[in-house]
Amino acid sequence: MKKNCFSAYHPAVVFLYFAGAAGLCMCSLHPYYVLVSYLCGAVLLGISCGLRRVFRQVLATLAVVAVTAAVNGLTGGLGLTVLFYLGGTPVTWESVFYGLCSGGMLAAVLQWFACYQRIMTGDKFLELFGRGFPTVSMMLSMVFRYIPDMLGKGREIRAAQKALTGGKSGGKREQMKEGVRLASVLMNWSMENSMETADSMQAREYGKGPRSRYIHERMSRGDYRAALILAALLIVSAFGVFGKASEFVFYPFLGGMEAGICFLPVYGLYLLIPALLEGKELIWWMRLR
Amino acid sequence: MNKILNCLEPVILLAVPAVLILCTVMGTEYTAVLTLFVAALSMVPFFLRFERRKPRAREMMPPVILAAVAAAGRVLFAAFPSVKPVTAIVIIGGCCFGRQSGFLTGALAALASNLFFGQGPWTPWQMYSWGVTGYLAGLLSDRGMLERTWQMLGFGFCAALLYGWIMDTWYIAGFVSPFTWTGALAAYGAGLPFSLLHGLATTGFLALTTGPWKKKIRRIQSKYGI
Repeated sequence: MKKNCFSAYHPAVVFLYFAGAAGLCMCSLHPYYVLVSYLCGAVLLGISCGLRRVFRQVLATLAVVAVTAAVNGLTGGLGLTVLFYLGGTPVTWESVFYGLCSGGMLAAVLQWFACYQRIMTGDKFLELFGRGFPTVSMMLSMVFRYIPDMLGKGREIRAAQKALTGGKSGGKREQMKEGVRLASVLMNWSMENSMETADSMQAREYGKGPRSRYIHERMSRGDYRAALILAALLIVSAFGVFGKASEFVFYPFLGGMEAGICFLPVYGLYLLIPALLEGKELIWWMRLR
Repeated sequence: MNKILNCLEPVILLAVPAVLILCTVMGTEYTAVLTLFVAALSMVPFFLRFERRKPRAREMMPPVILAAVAAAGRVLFAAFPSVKPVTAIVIIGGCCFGRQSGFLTGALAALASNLFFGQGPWTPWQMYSWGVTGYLAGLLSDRGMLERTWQMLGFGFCAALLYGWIMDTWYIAGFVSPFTWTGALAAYGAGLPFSLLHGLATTGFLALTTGPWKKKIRRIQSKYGI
């Protein structure tokens, strides 16, 4: 996995960035805002996961856009620019356009979540929320640890079952039955093992005194500075999204397309900050070489 | 504090669908993000209550294991699309370990298994829906209403439909505008086959596992005293 220089910041800063990006994205249906959010998300995804991943994501999200536009165009009845009639009901340009925008918004949100998953890894999430909910975050990290463990145990059980039954695998029905038996054995085995784990935890004084952490991170001065810059840009963009871009209307005619355009550069700047940091790093590296 | 949280639980659980329906019918702006926020927030009191109980290590284990089995099951059964044992396992968990553990099992299973299948705006909704499924299973079995196998099967089918209904409603609330009944019906209609398949799969899984799993869990409960 490529290390992203934005992910070196404190989890709180990273989380603030993603919460703002996905939140604003979900709140704006203005076509330009949707487009900017989608493109910036693609850039960040490209930086953190590579071009091939972006290509796959774009293909998948285009399908989302098409489906949403079709559903909305065929069922929403408002709007006055009739494109064609389908079985007596008019299909209007405005409702198809609404579907395009809301589908694009959904696609952009999906993209932001894909980036989030890549940069805000499980340990960062726990570092951020583990303080308020020590028990639940402990349980969550145990689930994370048990899943690969169980997949391994599952293979072991399957091998043992195969040895017992002679390795013949029947039709779908038989496979299904095998799967259920596997899950059953898995549950029983892991549950009994986990009791031993629990006793061991108890014996080593689990839950007594303050919890220690694997990664110990403090907000540094750079983190505070980044958080401040992000917050300032976020507030201005939020003003653009809620105050200006919402003047754009779909029905009965598309109107107010130019509303809030002056806030677009700020919005774009906010969304591109990780990419800019990466670019800065790259330029320094070139120069030093 | 605990008493307040206890009384608050059913209210909060009902508030989420209520907000969802209100937002859809009234056509509020920013529905998608508003309802998502409500769903995420609604889970906080449950986690808080569990924290305040300061559970022993042994009490923490059953939801963890069941959630991990459910999440691993999503991977193991990947060959059968929409046959996901999660709903069935969460119901059994709620039934055997009570509503709090049931809720935690569902929420943790959703959050953890999405690591493999991708996090998205659906994560809080899945956490909520599966959490509620576990909670309801615990509630009903406290009242002795899930003793018989047919009751379990019926509840499993209804829970799967409820899960589908919540997910479809969120899609309609956030992404279909203007709200029309034909539009809503079309979206529900598109989701119905998946819901029905999910319901049948859950019923089938419950039919095969309810008896043996309950027996196994009871044995472990009496052996280790949880």
